[in-house]
Amino acid sequence: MRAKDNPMPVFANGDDGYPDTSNLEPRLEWFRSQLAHCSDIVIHPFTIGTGTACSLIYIRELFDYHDAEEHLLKPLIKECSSWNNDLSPLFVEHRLPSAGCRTLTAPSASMDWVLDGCGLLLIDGDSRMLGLSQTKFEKRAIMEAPNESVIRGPREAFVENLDTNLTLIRRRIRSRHLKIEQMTFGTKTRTSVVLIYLDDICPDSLVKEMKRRLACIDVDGVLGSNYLEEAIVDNPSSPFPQIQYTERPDTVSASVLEGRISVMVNNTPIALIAPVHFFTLLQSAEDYYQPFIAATWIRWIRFVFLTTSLLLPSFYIAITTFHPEMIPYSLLISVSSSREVVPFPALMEALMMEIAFEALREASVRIPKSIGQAVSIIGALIIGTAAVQAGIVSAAMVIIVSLTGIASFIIPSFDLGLSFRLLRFPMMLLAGIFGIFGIACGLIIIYVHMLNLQSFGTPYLSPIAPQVAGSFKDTLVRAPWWKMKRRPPTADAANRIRQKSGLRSWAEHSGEGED
Amino acid sequence: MSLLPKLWKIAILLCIPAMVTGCWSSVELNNRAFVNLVIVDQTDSGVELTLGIPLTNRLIPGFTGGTGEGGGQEPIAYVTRTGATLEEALQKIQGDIPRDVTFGQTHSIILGSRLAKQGIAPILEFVERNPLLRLNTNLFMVEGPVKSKVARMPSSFERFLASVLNGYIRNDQILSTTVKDMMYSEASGGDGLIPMLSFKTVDPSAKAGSPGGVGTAGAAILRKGKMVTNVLSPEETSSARLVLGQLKRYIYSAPSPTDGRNVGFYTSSLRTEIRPFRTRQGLGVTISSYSDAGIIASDSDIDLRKQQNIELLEKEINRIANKSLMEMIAKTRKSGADVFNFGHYLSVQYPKEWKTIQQDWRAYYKDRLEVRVDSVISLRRLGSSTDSFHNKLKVDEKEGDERTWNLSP
Repeated sequence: MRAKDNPMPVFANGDDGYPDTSNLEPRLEWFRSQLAHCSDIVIHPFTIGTGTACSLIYIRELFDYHDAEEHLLKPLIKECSSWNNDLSPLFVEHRLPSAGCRTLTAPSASMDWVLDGCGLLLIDGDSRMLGLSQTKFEKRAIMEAPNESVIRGPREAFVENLDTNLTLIRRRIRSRHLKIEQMTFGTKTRTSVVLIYLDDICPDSLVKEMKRRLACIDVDGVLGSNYLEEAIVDNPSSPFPQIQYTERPDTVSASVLEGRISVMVNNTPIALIAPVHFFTLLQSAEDYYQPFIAATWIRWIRFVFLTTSLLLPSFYIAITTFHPEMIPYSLLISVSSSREVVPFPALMEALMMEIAFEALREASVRIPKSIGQAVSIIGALIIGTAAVQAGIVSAAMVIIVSLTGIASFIIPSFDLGLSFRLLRFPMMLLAGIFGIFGIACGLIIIYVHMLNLQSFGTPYLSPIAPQVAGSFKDTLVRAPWWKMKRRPPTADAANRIRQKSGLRSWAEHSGEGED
Repeated sequence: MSLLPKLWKIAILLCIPAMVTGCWSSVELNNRAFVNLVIVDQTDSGVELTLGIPLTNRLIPGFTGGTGEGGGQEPIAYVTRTGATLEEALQKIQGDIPRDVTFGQTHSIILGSRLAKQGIAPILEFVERNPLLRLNTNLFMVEGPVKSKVARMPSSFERFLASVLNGYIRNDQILSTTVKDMMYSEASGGDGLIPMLSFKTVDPSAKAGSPGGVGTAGAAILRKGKMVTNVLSPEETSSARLVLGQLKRYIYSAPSPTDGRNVGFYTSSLRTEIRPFRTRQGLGVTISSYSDAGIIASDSDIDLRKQQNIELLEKEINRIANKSLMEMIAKTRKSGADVFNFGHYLSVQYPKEWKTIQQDWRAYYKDRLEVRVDSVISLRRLGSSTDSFHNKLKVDEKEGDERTWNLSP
């Protein structure tokens, strides 16, 4: 599965001009020429106890030099005198107090070994090389999830380091069925990518399909999970997210337990999860940590505001310009009098305000924190009383835009929020041109599109359309845990029982006991 | 891959019907003049149409009453034009108003009595053909020239006269007749009742907050779409509302059968059944109205703990109701106007007989139709006290001890 090597001459097969000798110096010379102008490369020559010249090649601040000194240099200098000049045990038996040693012969592999941040020990008189895996570099500490915060759930979020992230998953699912398959992408970046799935729950077809799609990727660099995401989604031109992403290890674990597959990319604190369905994107991790009654209620609120974020401005435009007879009389008087001084048509007014809001939102994400407050103050003035008092927009429109803005952030998936924010604009245009008729047309188009959409071969609107029995338990409501006996349809059909019934059978027994 | 072409196909398909929506084009709110009240009257020079249009530019939030100029101004304009026909008058108004006159929010139409006497058919025609005017627009009538009265009306409780009228209808304080009701009756001859409004002349210089000038009056009787001279009094109108099942809460007092002192009641109608019947003498109808009643005050000594006393009271209020119903029906019969559409009931139940009397139905209704009324009022709520205060005080006086007022029974 490793990506093909770069066709450039120097690294062509990596072995060009490598001296076929066991002498140290010509080999070192080759490494020096290959790694010329790399000021972070350290080539450290030393002589061990038997009097043999050695050299350690590593990258500064990536290789744990102090550890190597303790476990490699010291033993070599002290103990090797007893080996009678035969250093082969070093390669064969790994007689070093350090794990992860590997004997390397291919020069290109050794070069990659060095570039991965490990150390490479070359010994005079032996063409084999010893790879040492003591990497140590600065990493970000595990912190609270900044974008998916919860109140009752675990706080940990992924960091950039893949190994740390994998421990976060493994600590949650301690099963031998949890498979973590590694691949490398990017001819230049050689980024590690892992597939995480439970081999007994995740359908084989899904794993195969994921591998098949990933196999086509051949790029020079993978710096984030979206590099892969866009390459493997079913319909890249759809505004709807077809792969879920998360920064929470518990979300990944829960998805893996539902038979889905997760893709994690090194140096990215974001895990991809596939397949994803529309209703999954409306679930938040918090739903499962809160009591089911509260979670169900929150879910309904989410549905309401999902509709709001898509339709409120367009409905306002349609009703005020086409169907004012629908508005209750007193409300009409209020709305109409607030619009009295506004010089723009309702559609223009709404577009202006919505675009101003989008700009404000984008600015607040990109802006340096030190001046963020200034922007929010100015923003509040633009989309606020000043605009109303200046007679540029109506007070009703300010309410509509703010409510829509809030509504779009209620959607747990930021991507889905984005797509709804985007779809709002064509809906507003349709409403401005055709009224409610236009809104209905727009909704039909969106609905047909969603019906056609697939995520890794599964319908996007499942489990509601097509309907799966009992599917409402984790879509329209959040059923209590003891009711969710079966895994969702993403899991392998042969292995769908999540729990035995009778999670609450003690309640029946204690009732009998009292009699 | 095939997704996008499919989407385009659907988009194009949905756009094609959009071409035929010719009567739809967007009009901004601040380019519309929302008519909340239509007043039609007949003058010597033709049909006089007055449109009540709220002036939203005088109602801008945060500005209302702010400046000296805007503060005292009425937030409504009454625009009046006279033309030979209703349409002509409307065109004159539209020609003079810089905004698009919109009837989508019209809830009330006030008719002048002079116009009503000539016939309300043109109004019904106008409403029927205008897609924006609702069929449940309420009809009212005012005796005499309307325009001058409305213009002088200060409204204390509401901003607009139209809101006052809506309030009457919403709270069931007035007989409600909609355009749809009149259209139904138009089909069967055009008889009906239209509620009347009374405008008490108020000194124009009176401060805002002085008693409102508009009030409910009785009801006009329409015969063949034209108003007759006889008018139902407010009390008779209440009886009419009982027949129509519209009486929500009517407060009155009746003497107690035990000692003749007054007991206060309120009645709410539950339902009314109109059943035609046939006797050897001819056809007739029975009006059975079922209502609930409650006691709101009592001057009487009557002991309400006894079931037979309650029955006595029920009998008394039923007698009163029957009497007033009969009087009201008699008045409509005198006018020869079948305002409750009895003819319709008869035509359904006895079509054969109906055919013979259909030609001179109004004369039949006037002289020969047998009308029985059967009011069933059940006294349900006695209030939380069985004894009147009057009684309790008297008992205490007898005992001579003023301190032992026993308030709880």
